[in-house]
Amino acid sequence: MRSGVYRTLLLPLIHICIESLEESIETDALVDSGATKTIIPKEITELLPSLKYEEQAAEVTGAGGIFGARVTRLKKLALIKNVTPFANFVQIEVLVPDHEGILPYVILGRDNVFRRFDVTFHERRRKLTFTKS
Amino acid sequence: MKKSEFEYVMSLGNALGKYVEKWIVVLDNNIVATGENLKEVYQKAKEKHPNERLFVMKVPADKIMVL
Repeated sequence: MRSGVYRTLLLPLIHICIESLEESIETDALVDSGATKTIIPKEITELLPSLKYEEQAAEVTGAGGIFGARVTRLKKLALIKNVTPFANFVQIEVLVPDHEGILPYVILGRDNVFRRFDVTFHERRRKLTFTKS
Repeated sequence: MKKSEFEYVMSLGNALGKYVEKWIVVLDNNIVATGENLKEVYQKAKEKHPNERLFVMKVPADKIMVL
């Protein structure tokens, strides 16, 4: 921590809602152009017990090493501004790490959000903009 | 304009520091539960607010990260 200031808020985070067949939860997500896939922390998916997983596992290479993951399909992932969803991604495939503690938040990779929007992170203005491409 | 739970958390600034590495559950601009195990924290909050959709977030440590 520098100068006693908590600086995590400078990350390009966005408010999202994720839904399975029977449950939904709101959380934060990191918009990450360096990630090829959308990944949901295992801790979050445990709040969505109706998610079904594919038999085939995935192997994910991150900066911290390689970890195993399972593939599942969300009923919906919504991006939210203020209290209003402005984009819905329906029946999208996401990865879930095999273990807890791998990720602190949802990672929005280039497989969904970046295909619909040009995303710009204005760090000094603490602002994320999504422009339909 | 109503502030969302996410915006509320983002506005906390330094006050968020005491929750580093913990999960927080937020409803109506209040942190209603915190702890290290999300499932336990969420269930505790859900018992008090069974009909509400809750916002959950792990407050990440302020450290150098490469994802």
